[in-house]
Amino acid sequence: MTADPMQDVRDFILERNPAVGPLTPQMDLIDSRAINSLAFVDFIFLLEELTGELIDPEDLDLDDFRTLDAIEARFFKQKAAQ
Amino acid sequence: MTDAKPSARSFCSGGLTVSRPTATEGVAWEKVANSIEFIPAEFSVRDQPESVAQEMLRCEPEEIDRLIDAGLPFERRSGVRCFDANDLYNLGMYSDSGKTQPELTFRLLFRFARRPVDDLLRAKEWDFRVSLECVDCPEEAPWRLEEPDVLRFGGSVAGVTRPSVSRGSAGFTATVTTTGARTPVVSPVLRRLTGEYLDAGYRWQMIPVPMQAHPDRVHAMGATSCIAASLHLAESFRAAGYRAEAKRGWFCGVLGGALDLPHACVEVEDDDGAVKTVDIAKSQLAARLSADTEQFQELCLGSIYNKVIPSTASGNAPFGYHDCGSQLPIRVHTDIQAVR
Repeated sequence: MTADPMQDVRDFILERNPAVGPLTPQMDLIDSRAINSLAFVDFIFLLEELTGELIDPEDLDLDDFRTLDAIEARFFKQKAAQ
Repeated sequence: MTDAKPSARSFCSGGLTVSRPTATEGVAWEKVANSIEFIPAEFSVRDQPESVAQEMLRCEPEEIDRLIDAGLPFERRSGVRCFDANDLYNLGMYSDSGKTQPELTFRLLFRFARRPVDDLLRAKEWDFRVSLECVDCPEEAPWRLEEPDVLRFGGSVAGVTRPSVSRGSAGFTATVTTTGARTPVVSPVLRRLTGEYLDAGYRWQMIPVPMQAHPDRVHAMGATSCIAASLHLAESFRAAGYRAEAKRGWFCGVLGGALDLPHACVEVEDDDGAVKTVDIAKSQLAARLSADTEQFQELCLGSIYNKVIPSTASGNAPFGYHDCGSQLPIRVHTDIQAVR
């Protein structure tokens, strides 16, 4: 893990999908298939590791994963604000 | 299912242990393959490329070779070895590695079964969306959908948008409120028959829906699944003199709609005159995935809970139809998300 959890997120996506190219904060990660359904569960476990909190699969919304900005807002900024 | 093995990266935070598994190592894939009954060729669709198999099972190419040598069926498509998705799921589920995607997915999905069951009895609102696709559609025609059928169990449906006459694709949306109720089966006969099925030793497997219409064939593999189990149990209940029917529905709150999980259970009129829901597959899966789910397992035997939306579809019937005359069944994808 790096000191910046969002760097770990970017590394995870690029490791599984190098062809996706440079990631931008607003890029649609679902439609571009940068995060596909196969990687989705792995990605949730990564987020749990990075946030240190269990994620309730019932509370998830695909839009939470749609962009890097959305991921940061939902899983990291929200937590930091608490 | 086992927890993540020590090689998984894990840490503790606030009393929680969170583990993110690494690649599988040392899995005896030959043994796993021998423990699986592969999907018979007539029901098998081998269209998942080797790259998907490697990702699902966290396998190296040489481990896929070992699985094939041990009997994993495959077909070559454009020079690539392709596998049936159910076979891959079942290999992953029973690898006992704690790291394959099927194991992780089910572990995540069944966390709810360890929570206090009161949480499953409260009213809960779902954003319910169905997309319907007619793949070989010759003309505009009406659509028919087996809709959410929750009113009988204290739920409600609001804001319904039904598909209009159209060609190719359409959608259905609604807000569905589910609720739970503790209504355990009281009939000793129904309880005995249910217990006998649970004790019969069938192992839950992912089975193609067309094959699940033949419970005997599923059971001959030593396996069970929600539709097959519900069809069989409904028949047993009827043979014992009860009014019973296997009904299809949906399992809610599955990863933000990323997975589409159709479900089936048995509705039976109990000795007290009330219609009870026996959710036998969930009871069995919960027992397999976590030992401390006794309360949830009991809830599955007659009570209703807020994570399932029953439909009007019976047994193994399709969820939707398009009256365009196409001979191909329509594709139905359901996206159910909790309303925040």
